[in-house]
Amino acid sequence: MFKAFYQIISIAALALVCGTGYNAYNIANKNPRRMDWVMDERLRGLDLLESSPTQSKDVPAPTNPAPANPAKDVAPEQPAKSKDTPAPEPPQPTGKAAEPPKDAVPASEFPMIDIAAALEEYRNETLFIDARRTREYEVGHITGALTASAWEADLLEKITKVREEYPAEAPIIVYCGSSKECEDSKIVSRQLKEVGFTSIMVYQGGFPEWSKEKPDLVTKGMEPGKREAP
Amino acid sequence: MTRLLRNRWVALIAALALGGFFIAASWHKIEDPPDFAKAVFNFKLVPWQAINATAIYLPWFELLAGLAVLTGLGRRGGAFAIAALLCVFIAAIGFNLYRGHPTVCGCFETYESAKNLTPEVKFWKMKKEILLDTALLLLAACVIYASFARSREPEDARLPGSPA
Repeated sequence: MFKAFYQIISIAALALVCGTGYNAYNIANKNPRRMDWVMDERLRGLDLLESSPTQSKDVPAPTNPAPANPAKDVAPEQPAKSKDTPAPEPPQPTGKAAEPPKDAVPASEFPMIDIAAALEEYRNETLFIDARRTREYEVGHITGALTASAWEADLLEKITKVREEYPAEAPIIVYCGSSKECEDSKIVSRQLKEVGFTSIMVYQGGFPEWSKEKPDLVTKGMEPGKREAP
Repeated sequence: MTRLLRNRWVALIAALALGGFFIAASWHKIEDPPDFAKAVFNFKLVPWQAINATAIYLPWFELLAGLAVLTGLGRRGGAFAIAALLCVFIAAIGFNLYRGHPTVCGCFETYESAKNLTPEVKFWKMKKEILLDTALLLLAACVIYASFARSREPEDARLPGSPA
């Protein structure tokens, strides 16, 4: 019996060595498979079972829907990306609480928008961020969207880079690969909020809906792609 | 039954099947730890601080336990480790079934490949996983029993009248 115990300990010790070595190797090579050793606070506060269809199916519509185009009324001709121009007025979605209470249901933490609103934002050059895995992004993404996978180790690095290029008030739409479970979008949105962005929306339909409805506005490969009027 | 389990060929086939299964099951998790992390997170059982560590180390533990059983280098310990893992998996899936939370096990398939399934299909797959894990647990029990039985064989052989 003691022999079995020592064998289990040996297997566990070897697993620790192999896991550490493998992840360290992936980190050193900036492999998309690399992971942070400990998940940061991205997941903290995400309610247990929040994505359970038994709960979410009853709330298909956003509880605090964003306006169709928060940036439109403020700076219709100015893409949010321009660094030289002064920061536009913060596009305040009417339904979005400035500071959601801590016990708020995470589903309404960020305004959820539908495809019509997402298209409107797309026309206005709003920045889209793809929260799916990098390899999924490579297969196809919304043209012009940047990649920032919720589960890959370089999330903060990518988001910090976005923050350096865009003003904090710039509207940002985050989407993921599922219309049902959009936890990845919530994780990335929280990180965006953490670095200072104030107008973050989540495109509820995600890439499956977009690629079905607007296949001509999808780009393959690692480059974001150049936007054209839809 | 015990005679069957003492048969070295039966024990060997059980060990090869169990070890092979676990090596195969660990492979896609090692290949893509972030995908497995999503599966772990979706179980809604592991504290967020432990999700990444689980995704980084658990697949290697599975692989090495499977190798130990397959090769015979630490077969008993490997089988005990696998049995413990299977108990945890069965409990985790069973608890999520009980509370009505459909999830992707991530045991033998990637999270990405199954995340868009309907809740009904997910529930059905969870029940299937429990059955499969139970079958594997029985296999692990066979390997453990056989390893103990074989270790006692020389003593038995010394008993008067026992077969050579």
